[in-house]
Amino acid sequence: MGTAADALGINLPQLIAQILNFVILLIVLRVLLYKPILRMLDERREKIAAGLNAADIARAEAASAQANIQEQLNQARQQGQEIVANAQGIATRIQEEQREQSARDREEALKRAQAEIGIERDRAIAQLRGEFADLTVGAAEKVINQSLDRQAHQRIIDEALAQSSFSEN
Amino acid sequence: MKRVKILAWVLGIIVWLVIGFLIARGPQPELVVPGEKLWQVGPLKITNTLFTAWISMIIIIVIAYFGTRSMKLLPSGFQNFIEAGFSYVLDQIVEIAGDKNGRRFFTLTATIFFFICIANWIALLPVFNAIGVTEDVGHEVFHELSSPNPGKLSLASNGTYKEDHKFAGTKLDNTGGVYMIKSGAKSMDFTVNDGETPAQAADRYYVFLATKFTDFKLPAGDSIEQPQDAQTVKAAVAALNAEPKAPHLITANEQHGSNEHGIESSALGTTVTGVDFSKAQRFGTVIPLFRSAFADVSNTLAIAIISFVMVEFWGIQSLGIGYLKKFFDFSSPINFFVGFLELISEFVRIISFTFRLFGNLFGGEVLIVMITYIVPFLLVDIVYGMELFFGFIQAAIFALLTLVFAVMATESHGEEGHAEGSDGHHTPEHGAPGIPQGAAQVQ
Repeated sequence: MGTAADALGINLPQLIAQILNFVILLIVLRVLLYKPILRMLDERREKIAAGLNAADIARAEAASAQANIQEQLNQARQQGQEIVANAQGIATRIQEEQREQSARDREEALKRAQAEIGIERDRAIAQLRGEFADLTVGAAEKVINQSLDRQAHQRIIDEALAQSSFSEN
Repeated sequence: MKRVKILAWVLGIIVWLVIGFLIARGPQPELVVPGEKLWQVGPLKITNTLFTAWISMIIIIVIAYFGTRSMKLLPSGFQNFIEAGFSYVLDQIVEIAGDKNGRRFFTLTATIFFFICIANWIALLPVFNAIGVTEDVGHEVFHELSSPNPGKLSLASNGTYKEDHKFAGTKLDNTGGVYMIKSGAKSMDFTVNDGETPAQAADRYYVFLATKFTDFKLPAGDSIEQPQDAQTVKAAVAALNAEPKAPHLITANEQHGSNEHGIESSALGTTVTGVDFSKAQRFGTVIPLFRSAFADVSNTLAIAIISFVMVEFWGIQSLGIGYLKKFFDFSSPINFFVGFLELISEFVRIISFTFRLFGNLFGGEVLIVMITYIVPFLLVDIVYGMELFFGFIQAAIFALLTLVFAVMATESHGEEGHAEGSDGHHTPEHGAPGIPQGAAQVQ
């Protein structure tokens, strides 16, 4: 056994030295490598988990805010529509009134114009009639050489005129 | 056109291989299984494998130090690299052992992995098995033969050697300091035979030196392995003395050195106290300064023992005395036998761990050295690539097997677990560190 171990190169001092080597390496690596890196990995994992969590919360908040805004928007739109509808109603009414008013005004103006025209016509007719009578008298005077006095003359003409259809158009 | 191209490639490769074979061959390898001693400190022989293990440790620690010196939450550069390697190992371990146990077994498993892997990989550097300290074998042989308590030879109480021992070396110009293992150096070896007395071996050694350093020829039909008769020895020594560039024997008559280390030669009729190589090329060997750390059984055995001890420790820590029930089960003869087999298999693991790693790495080392010797170009690159892979795989196997054994040891036996569970002593959380289950059961 001893010779076999020798042939393979197993010797106790080296074995112990190597075991010590390993233990030293283990301790040094644990202090120098494993602990810091594990701590770092854990810390990073926590940070990432926290970050993801925060992101989730933020997303939920954003969603609820979005819903809120949507609702407000809907409300506003509805209100707006109502207002517009109201305004349109009022506008229609005003328009209607305006139209009626204007129609009435127009009619009135027309009536007044007709009346004025009527008066103007009557006056013109009267004036025309007067002038015409004078003209006729003058003409008749010339024709009958002043055979008739003025009053008789006037009467005849008036009669003639009355008989004529001039006044009634 | 394509054919011509392929032909050119094949031709080029063949020419390259032939050139390598002709001019760049490595030294003829001298295969030595144990790690060779470089220095001696007290009882500890600092072998080249142990030396390499230390270098690997230093490299790992330096990498760890610089990798974690200024850790940032957002890793970059070197820290990124370190963390990537670390996370890879951690993920593998957690995948097998679960999160809690993974953390518990991590330190050992990862250390085994990193240590073996880095040691295997640096063993692929070109300085390995290439440069070394020289050892003056010519003097050593004589010293061993003349010493009453030889270090390498085993002398029985009746004055003969108990076993063969081969001294190997090459002719070197210089046997001090660090030396490049020389390409094509003519190697020579001298074997001390089982059952020989020191005087007989020494006589043969003189003849051996004469055949190597002078024109001296052995009588026809004789072999250097056979005991030499007085006439041959005398002739050989005369030939050595006649040749100015050969080692000369120093005899007691010349008053050189003390008599206590002399070997009395009946053939020469005088006591030889030394061999003087001062005018000759020395007969020496180059001991590689660096050899793959785990191509040494002592080193692999050390890790295997640690692995074994820790697995058993975790088993007992997790299951308390119940863990040992697996091995000492007196409920029936069959169970007892099964337990006995379990016990043996537990110890066999040490051996399988040791020799799996040793065999693979020693084999790889030998393969590289042999291929370098035979076909130094191209083919050896392929072998290097394979060794890179094997180095990693062996480290992973060692670490993962340790992990698997640890997981197996900390899991309670199915039936026993149920029985204990009905007793109300057993909690599903077996293996809370620091709280041995056994203590609760004893209460």
